[in-house]
Amino acid sequence: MHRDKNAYIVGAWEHPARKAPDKSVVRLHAECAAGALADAGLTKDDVDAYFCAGDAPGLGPLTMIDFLNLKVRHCDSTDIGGSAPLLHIAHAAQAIAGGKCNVALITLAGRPHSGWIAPELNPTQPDMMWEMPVRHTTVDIYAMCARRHMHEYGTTSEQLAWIKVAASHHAQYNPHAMLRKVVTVEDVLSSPMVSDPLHRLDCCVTSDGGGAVVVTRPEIAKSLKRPRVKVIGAGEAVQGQFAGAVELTASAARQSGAIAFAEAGVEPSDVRYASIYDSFTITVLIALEDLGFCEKGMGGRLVADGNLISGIGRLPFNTDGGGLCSSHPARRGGITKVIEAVRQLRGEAHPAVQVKDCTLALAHGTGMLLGTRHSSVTLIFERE
Amino acid sequence: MAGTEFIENSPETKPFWDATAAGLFVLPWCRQCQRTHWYPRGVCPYCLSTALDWRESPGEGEIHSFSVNRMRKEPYVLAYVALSEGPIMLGNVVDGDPATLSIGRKVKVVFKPTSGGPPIPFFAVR
Repeated sequence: MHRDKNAYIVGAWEHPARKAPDKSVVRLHAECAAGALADAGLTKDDVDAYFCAGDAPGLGPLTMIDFLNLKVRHCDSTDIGGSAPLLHIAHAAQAIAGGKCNVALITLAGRPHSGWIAPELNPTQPDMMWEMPVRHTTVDIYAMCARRHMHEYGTTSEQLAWIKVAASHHAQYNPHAMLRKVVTVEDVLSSPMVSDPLHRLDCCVTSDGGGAVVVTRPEIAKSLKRPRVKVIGAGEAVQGQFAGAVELTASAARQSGAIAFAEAGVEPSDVRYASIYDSFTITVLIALEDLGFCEKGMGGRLVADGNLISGIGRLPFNTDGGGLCSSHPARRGGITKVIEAVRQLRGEAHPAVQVKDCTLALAHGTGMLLGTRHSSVTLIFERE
Repeated sequence: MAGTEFIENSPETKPFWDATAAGLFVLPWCRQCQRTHWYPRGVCPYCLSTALDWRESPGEGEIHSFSVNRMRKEPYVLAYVALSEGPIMLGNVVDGDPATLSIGRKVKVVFKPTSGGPPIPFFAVR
């Protein structure tokens, strides 16, 4: 992709609610849309492309475009789980470069915390005949990934706990975070076992809320008053069970990361800040390895001893507290990964966690379940 | 484990369930590329051939990884089991103390009844 044709993120807004029982899911989507457009200095009438995933009620864009009363000439509702908004940003950038649209709006919202859960698995899927009877929950599958990683590489529960500890250090500065108390490795290990070997504090929160992002072309971005965040690399990949050759300790981030870094022309060591999808602590560890921040199997050493804490460690991550402590709206953490990366690049993160001279950031999403079927999407952003 | 749900959503997998009803565990075998796979789906995921046979399997394997879910009244074990034929299969390990399990432990298919359907293959420690 020619550099001149790269797209920019000009609007990013996260809903402050973590529990919103009195709002419909579509209303939350609309509030996020309005927030991101206001952040960009654009209006609803500027939008000519719309993106959403399975968290949006109804038939994706058909329902939402009608509800929001948008007039668009491009839409996409590819649903690959929690990483979908990152994919939507990549696809919006491609559509903008291809001349298909000018201003793309991407929304995500949901309220699982107050009891409205969008169904993601349905019995007509060919795999469900074999999976639903064994009562696999999301945490069980990730627990098997963690155990296998421990078996193959000697990774420990203490090392995984450091990921939660780092997230909690950041969350203490986020007034909207669900879990603001700083925790220790011991706190994580003494929290109840949910699915052995993962503890309750190895898991993300369940929250209501959402977020939205506005992507546009260079000419429009340059006319706006906001700091410019350029999309310089994007990679996507999907991994299943390989017909039985299941891989529990490596993800599609191997492909998505390699594609994104090659497109951006940068290396993992150039990244100043990383938003890493954190449904569970193990999700972060496997992604960091596969993205090339360390050798395969060395993730435990990479994350230990506060190395992910902003101002202390080598690789500050999820400085809003992430899904582990702040929010996981609609049980999908993709959009918040992008939003915090944008805050960092604009210098608008909380001063206590703002990375100095944050010129290059990465946002990575892992959708659905490592082990059975998942997607990985990696985006690399540059402050201009 | 009574009450386990049976989901039937593909006519191509009927021979698998006819076999379990007869107490047999079978695996799909592709006549074109001569490979077996999991999960059964009526088409070979290696070559897209539909020339598939069902081959009887002893249902033996070893635990590739497992988790012990402690959120419900009784803990239960989910596992990926590497079958001796190669494919890694998702299942429950039943009839054993979760505390005694480890990766590499040998297991064997056992059949458990479902509500309104044929028995489903689970695993027991050998």
